[in-house]
Amino acid sequence: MKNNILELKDVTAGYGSKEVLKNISFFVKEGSFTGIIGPNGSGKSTLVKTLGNFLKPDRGIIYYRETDVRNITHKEYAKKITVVPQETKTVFDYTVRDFVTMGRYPYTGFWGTLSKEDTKEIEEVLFTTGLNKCCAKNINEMSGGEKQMVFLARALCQKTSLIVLDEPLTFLDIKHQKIIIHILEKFNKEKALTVLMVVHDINTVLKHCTDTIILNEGSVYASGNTEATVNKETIREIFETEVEFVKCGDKNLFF
Amino acid sequence: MGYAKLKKITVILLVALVTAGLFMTSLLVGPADINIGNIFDYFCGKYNPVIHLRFMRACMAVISAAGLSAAGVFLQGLLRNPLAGPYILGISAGSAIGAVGAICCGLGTAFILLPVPMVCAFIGAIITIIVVYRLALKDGNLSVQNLILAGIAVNSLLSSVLLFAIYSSKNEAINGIIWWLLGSLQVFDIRIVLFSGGIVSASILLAIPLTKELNAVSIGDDLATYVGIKVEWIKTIFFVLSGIMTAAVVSSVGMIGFVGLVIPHITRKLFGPDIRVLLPASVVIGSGFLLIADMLCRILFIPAELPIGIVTSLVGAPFFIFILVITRKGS
Repeated sequence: MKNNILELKDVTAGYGSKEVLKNISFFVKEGSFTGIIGPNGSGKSTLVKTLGNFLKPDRGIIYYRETDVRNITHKEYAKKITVVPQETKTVFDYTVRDFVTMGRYPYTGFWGTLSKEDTKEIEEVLFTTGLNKCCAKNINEMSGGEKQMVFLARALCQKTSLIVLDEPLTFLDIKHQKIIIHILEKFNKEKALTVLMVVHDINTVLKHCTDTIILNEGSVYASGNTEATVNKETIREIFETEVEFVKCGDKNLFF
Repeated sequence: MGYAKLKKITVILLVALVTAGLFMTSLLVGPADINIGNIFDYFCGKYNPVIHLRFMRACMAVISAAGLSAAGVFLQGLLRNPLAGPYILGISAGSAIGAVGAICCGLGTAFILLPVPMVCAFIGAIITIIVVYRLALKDGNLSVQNLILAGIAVNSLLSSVLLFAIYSSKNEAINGIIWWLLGSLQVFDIRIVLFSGGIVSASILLAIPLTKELNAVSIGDDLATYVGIKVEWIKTIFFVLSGIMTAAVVSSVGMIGFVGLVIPHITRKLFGPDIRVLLPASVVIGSGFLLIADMLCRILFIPAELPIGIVTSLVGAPFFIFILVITRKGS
């Protein structure tokens, strides 16, 4: 379909001979805010790595706006799709600015010299994420929430049209969770950035995601409009637990 | 360009200037009396054997320091481990086996274009690089953890072979072996200088345009991929370049400890982790350091000479501790 930014067709991927994702197919709509949920071990992180070009599918095809991604070079890929991984340990003491600047690597030449546009982009992202106040700070001396923001800023600097996030909210307090969601929604609305986000908290999905993909045991259990996919029955089926849904404003939330 | 970057470049240029000064000074230092006039004459084309020897020696100090420091910078970035160094991959042990093998076979003084032990050392190192690389491959990818483990395993194996060779060789061979293991910057043939200098400078020049990519890899294979870096490609290139540089240096001057591990470490403390800055800074700081260490070798026990390997650690370790202390205070 024309308005799909991403489409997976019978993709199988894994590590060595171990298949984690088994023949999965789904699509992500252009401009959507899509959540990926599923129990532990359902293949969410493997999916993120595959979408980030880090893990090559054993079989199947991934299309980015109807182009087979195997025909896209690494550098071009990084201008279209980026990934914010789960909290990652960093060994070397990079400053916030240097780390975020790496997001411009797909655009810079040999030596990594920044053009005026690169600098403008970096400054803008630093300002939006509020990191402009701590540019010179060592990333290894930051809290989990601040560090997650740095990783997000680095990805936003890539100016891609699709951003994939692997549990960006997991270790964050409510304030940082809200800030990250707010930034993503802002980019989603104002810059037409399509967001694909793995989330553990189902209420976050219900509240913010227009679409949802439910993974279970390496396969897609359901996908589509959030209200249609996430309900009492699917939760019971997938997470093997009973929940109650309550109306909160115009949204359903569960507890 | 930001103020911070300009400051770093200025400091690197100043250190380079000091290193150039140390290079000239090292031509003056030693048991034989040489004055500035003699050096001037030498550079104008008047041959002087003492200055010629010292000149080759100073060149080897700069080449070795550049090669080992650059290899250290690359491997620490590549392996994401500030404790990695050129010797962790077993390359030094591999080349030592080559050299010791040649000495034990009575070829210690043989010469085919270059000294035979040196050629054997280079071949030994290259074979080790290939073996370690093959062992570190996992599903066709270069695994950082496997690389360290394979290096340690190969290093231990080769070290025991080396010890056995020393144990079972005759007295006259042992002197040659020990001298080789301790390292000496004194070479007697300009071809050695050209050989190692050529390899080291070519490797560094090849690496410079890819330092941006190595920066990304030093944060993580996945994160580097997400900004469009061909990670496997970059890891292989830097591994091979580090290996070849170490092989060239170790086969020419023997094992010189400390430089490859600690100079990149000190430089990172002073200049930050950006490899584009770290590479030139490590090269000039390392060169200056090794030139000083070499001068000390010559003057501490005149007319006897200490092996360079002893002095690098003797001078380097307190310096390293000093750097650790001042950077801990955040000054």
